[in-house]
Amino acid sequence: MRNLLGALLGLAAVASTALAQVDPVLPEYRPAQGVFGTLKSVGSDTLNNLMAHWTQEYTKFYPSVKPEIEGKGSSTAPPALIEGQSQFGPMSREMKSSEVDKFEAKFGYKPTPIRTAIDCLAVYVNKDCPLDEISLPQLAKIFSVAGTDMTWGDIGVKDPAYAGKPINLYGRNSASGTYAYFKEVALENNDYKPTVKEQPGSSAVVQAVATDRFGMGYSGIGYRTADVKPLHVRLAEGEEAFPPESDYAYSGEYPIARFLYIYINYDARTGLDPLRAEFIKLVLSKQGQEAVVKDGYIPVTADIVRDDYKSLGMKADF
Amino acid sequence: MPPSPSRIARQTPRRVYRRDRVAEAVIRAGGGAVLIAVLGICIYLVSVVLPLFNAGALGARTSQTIPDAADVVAAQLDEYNQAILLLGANGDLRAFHIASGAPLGRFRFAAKDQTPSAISPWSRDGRIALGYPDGSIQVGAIRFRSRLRVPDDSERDIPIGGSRPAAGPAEDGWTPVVERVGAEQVRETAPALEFSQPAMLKVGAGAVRRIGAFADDRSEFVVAVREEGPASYSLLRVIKPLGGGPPRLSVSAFPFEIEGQDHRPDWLFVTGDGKHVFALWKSGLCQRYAAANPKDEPIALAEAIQLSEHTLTAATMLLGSRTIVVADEAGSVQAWFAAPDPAAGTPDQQRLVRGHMFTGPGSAVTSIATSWRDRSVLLGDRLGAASLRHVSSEKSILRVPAPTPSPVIATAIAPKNDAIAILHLDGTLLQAAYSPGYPEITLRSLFAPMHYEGQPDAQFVYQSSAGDDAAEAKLSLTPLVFGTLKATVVAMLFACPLAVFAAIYSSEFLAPKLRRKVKPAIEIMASLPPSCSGSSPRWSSHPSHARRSRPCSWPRSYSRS
Repeated sequence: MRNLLGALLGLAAVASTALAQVDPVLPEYRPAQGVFGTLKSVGSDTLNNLMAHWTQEYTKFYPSVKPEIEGKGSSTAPPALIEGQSQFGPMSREMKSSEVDKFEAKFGYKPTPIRTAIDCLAVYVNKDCPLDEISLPQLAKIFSVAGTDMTWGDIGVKDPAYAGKPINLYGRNSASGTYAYFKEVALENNDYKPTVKEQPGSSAVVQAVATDRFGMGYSGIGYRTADVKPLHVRLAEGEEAFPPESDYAYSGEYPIARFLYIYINYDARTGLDPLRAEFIKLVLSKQGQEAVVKDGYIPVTADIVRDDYKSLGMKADF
Repeated sequence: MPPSPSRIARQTPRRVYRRDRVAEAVIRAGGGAVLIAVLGICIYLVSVVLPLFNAGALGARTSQTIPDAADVVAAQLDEYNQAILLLGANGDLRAFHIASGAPLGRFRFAAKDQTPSAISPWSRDGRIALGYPDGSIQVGAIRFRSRLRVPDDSERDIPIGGSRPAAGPAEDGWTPVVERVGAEQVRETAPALEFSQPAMLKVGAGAVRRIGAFADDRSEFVVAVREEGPASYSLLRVIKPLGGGPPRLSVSAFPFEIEGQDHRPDWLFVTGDGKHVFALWKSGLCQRYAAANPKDEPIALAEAIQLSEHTLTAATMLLGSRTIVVADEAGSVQAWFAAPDPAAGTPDQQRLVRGHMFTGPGSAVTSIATSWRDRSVLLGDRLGAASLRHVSSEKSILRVPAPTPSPVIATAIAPKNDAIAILHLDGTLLQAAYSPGYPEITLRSLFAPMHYEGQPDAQFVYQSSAGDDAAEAKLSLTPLVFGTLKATVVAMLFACPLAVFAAIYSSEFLAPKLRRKVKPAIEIMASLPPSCSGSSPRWSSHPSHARRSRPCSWPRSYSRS
C-alpha cells in the first residue's frame, strides 16, 4: 500500500509542471527532547497524504511516537477536537462560526488555525478534453442548481465529439471541506445539482475524471495525475484565466486557491505540550514544506509561518 | 414403510424434560429481555427526537434604561453578551455595559463635519455602509473585539463570571468591558471600527438618500442613490495574496436609473451575489433590478411587484443577503427572493417569489434583526412585544411579551444565537439569554416540501452541509426515505429470484446428506441481523482492522457508516 502511495505521489510530482520553491528562510527542523505518546489526527481527506508524510518524518525523529491518522473529511475535525479525540484537526476549509462556537462553549477560547500549505483547488477534465479555461460563474451554472443541465457546447467547446454531450459531474461527499469550500466560493452557496456524483475521496474524483472522457470534477491540486488536466480558472467573464500554479496562488489571482489548515486546541495559559509544538515546528520547517512540494501542493511563506508561530505563543527566530 | 415399533415404545428420559424446561426458561428470559431492550431503545429514541420539535427557552434577563434612545435605529450585541452598541440615525454610535447600564464610549460618524444622511442595515459581522450629505459613502464594519489576558491586581476582586467596565477608556476612546472567565483569565471586550475613507459617488447630485451594501472577505457590493440623478452600483473585488502582503482591490462602478415613484425608494438592497438590486417603497412596491453582468449588460429594471397592500413598516435582508424580509402595517411578515423561472418573461428569466409568510408578534412590526448564524429573525412591534422566528421553517422560537407599551425601535440577536436585545422608544433596554433549541426542525421541514431560498416553488431537498453558515440547511427526509426504498426495491429484484431458486433447489434437489448440513446453516444465517453479516467484508477490509495499510486510509466510502 505504501509503495502504491509512493508511486501515486511520484506521479503527482512529475505531472506538476512548475514546482514551487520552499521559502529559503524557513529553518531546518532539529529534534527536541521529551517527545513521546500517541499523535492523533482526525480531519481532511485533502490533507491526508500530507499528514502521512509529516508523521512519517516525525516518527523518524521520535520513534516512540505512535501516529493515528484518520482522513474522512474536514467536517470530522471539529467534533474530534472538541471531544478531545484528536490533537490535530486538519481542515481544507476554515472552521464555520457555528463550529467555533461549539468549541468555545467547551473550552472558553477559540481553536487556533495553523496554515500549513496552500492548495489550488483544481477543476479537472479528462486529458483528451479540448476545454482549457473556465470561469467561476460557469462553474456555478455547471455544478449548482442555479443552472440547468449543461452540455460541453454550452461552455464553448466546438469539437463535435463533445458539443452535444452532457458534462458528467464528479464531486466530493458532504463531510468534505473541499465540497464545502467549492460550494461557498465557486457556487456562491447554491446547492449542488443532484446529478453530481459524490466520490468518497479526492483521488476517486480524479480517477473518475481520468476514465470518463466527458467528466469534470474538483479536487486538490495535490491529487493531479497525468490522465487529467486542471483547467485555468477566471474570476468572472471577461477577465484573465489563471492556471493552478504557485505564482498565481501566492498572488491570489487563481480564484479558488486556499490555505490548508491544521486546527489545534491551544490554551494560552498552559501552552503547547512538546508533542504538538514539535509537530507544528516540523510541519512549518524546511523539511515539512518540502513534503508539501513533493505532494503537489504549494508551501507557505516565512511571513505566514512567523504569524502562526506568534498565534501559538512560540518564538520565530528566523 | 410402517414406523419402527422401538421408536413408539421409547420412554423419554427425565433429563430431557429437565433440559427442555431449562431451555424454555432461557428462551423466555432472553425473549423478554429483547422485548424490554427494544422498548428501551424506542423510549430513548423518542426522548431524543421529541425535543427537536420544542420551541426555544428564555433565560436570564437584564433590564436597563438608556438615555436619549429615541434616535436609535440599530443595535448589536457582542459575542459574550457583555455590551451593546446602539447606532443613531445621525451616525451617533454609543456602547453600554449591559449588566450595569454604564456607558462605554461614544463615536460620531461624520464626513466634513456632516452626519450621515443614509445608513444601511447592520449585517453579519457588523458590516455597514454610510452615505453623507456631500455625496460620499463609507463602507466598513462596526463590531466588538475580544481578547483573553491575565487579570491585573485591580481586577482580582471581580467574581468569576462577573464583569465590569475597565477603569478608564483605551486609546481609541472606548472603555472595554472586563469579564472574569477564570481564576487566572479575564476577557476584554470593546468596540472596534474598521472603515474605508469616505469616497465620492461619481453619479448624481446632492445628499445620499439611501444606501444598501453587502460585504464579505472577497467582495463588496454597494448601491446608493442621491437626491438627484441616477443611482450607483459599485463592485469591489478583494484579491488576497496567499503569499502575504496587503490585499489588492479592484473597484468598478455602474450608474443605473431607478424608475417610477419619485425615483427615491425607502429601502435599497443588493444581494450577496451582487446579481440583484431591490428597491422598496413604503407603499409596498418592490422593484428588482438585474445586475448579473453590469460590465456587458446595463443594470435595468427586471420586474416590479406589489409585496403587500398595506404600508411597509420594516425591511431587511436575511443572513447571506439573498432574501428580503418585509413587515407591513397589518402585522404580517414576508420573505421574498429571486428564483429562476424561464416562463417569467423577465430579461434575466428570474422572478421574485414569496417563500414565506407569517405573522409577527401582533401589531405592526417596527424593527427586524437578523441572526449571524442562521435564518432567525427577531421582530419587535409597535406595542412593545417581540418574537423570534426561524424563516425557513417558520417555527416560532420565542415570544417576548411587552415589558412596556412603548414601540420597539431596535433589536439585536447576539452573534452566537444565545441572547437577544430589544430597545423601546422610552429607553427600556431588555437583554435576555435564550436557548434556540432546533429552530430549523419542524415536522413540515422534515417531511413536507419546503420553499427554500432561490427555488421557484416548494421542493423536497436534502443538502445539509456547506462551508458557510449563510447557506440554508435543507433537511427534507423524504428524499432519503425514497432513496432507501429505491435501493431496497432494486436489491429485492436481484435477491428474490436468487433466494426462491436457492430455496427450491435446497428443498427439492439437494442430496439429503448435504441438505442436513446446508439447511441449518441457512437458518442460522437468517437469524443473524443482516447488518452483522453485511459488515463482515467491512471488517476484513477496513484499514483499522488491517494494520499494514496505515497511515493511508483508503476505503473512505465507510466514512459515514
